[in-house]
Amino acid sequence: MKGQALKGHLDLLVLAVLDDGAKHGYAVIDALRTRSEDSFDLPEGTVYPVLHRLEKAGLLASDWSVVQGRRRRTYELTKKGRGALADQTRSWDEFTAAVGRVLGNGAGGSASWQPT
Amino acid sequence: MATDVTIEDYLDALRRRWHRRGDCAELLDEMEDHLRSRVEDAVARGADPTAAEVETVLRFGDADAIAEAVADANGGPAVPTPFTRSAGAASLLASAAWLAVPALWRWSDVLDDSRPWDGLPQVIWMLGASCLTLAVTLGMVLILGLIERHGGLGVTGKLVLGPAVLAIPAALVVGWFMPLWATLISISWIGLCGVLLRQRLAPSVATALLTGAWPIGLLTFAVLRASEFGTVDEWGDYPAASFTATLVGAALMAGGSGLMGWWLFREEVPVLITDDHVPA
Repeated sequence: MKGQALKGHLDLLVLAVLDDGAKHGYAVIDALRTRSEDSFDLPEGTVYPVLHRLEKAGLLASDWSVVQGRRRRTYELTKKGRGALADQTRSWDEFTAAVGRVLGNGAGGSASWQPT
Repeated sequence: MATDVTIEDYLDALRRRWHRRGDCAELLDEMEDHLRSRVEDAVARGADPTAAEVETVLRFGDADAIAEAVADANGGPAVPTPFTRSAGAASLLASAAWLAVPALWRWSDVLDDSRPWDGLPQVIWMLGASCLTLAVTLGMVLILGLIERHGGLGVTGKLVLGPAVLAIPAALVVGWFMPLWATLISISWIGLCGVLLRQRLAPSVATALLTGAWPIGLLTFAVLRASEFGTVDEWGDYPAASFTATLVGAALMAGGSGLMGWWLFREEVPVLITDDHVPA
């Protein structure tokens, strides 16, 4: 899946991969790729505008450390970020459930689309 | 992008885009850590170091696009600096100076009517003219601060400085001739206004007040003059029209300078990560 298709969902995805612990940018993009089973194929640098924007919104906090002689910035969810993740996850679940019902693979199983 | 195949080349490309930013080193450190970590992982899995570096850089994304997206997420092309905060303080002072100009000139007129013989009205008038020159000079400092705050503002940033600088000697030498210095200030702010509002780089109300102040002042002057407002002085001018127009323009400038100055002054300058200070 290319970056354009992910546009609008990256905030939620980044918040989700940070839910299981603090990560630096490379680990975030690696987790996105691994957890999506290589489906999310976007330029790796695009994760930084998202991280920085989420931090400015107070959803993430960052900290610096030195690893192997390099400065490393690590991000973690704030309390506000956990709340935003819960809200966005709920919205996403409602959205996908609604789309599923429209496509006919909700409670009644799959129904093929018939052109009129 | 195809030529930026080494990490150093890639970081240089980012540095060229960010060199005006106060947080340039911090951003580059973060990108470099990502790039080198990825190469190390690939080499640990058995990849050729050179090939791993090329692939890493290519997978990171186009340097210009990444640089722009990161800058956008961090307040635009540039960030607050100690100078932009000083420019904010200068603008706050300019706000007071703008208010002082019509007040002092009005006081001078009143004294001139009651005690024209002792020279005090002239002294107060000169004081008002000095406040005008100060306000115009500090206004140019504000423009310089906005230009620095937003990474130069390209050609617009250079063009608007000309009339802003010319307005200073105009205010100093012919402060009484409002149409001249007011027009120069107007040209400068109309030039800035487009880029500031279009890119949402500064508070819109402050930008609108600073841009509209002297066009409105000049329009007021033209209307009052055409309607022969007040009495005619010994030179055939209408001092009441000139004073009212100056009052209108100066009040709007004071409001705009105050708002813009406060916005620039209260912005926090990013704490830069240096070799001496690495947060734990």
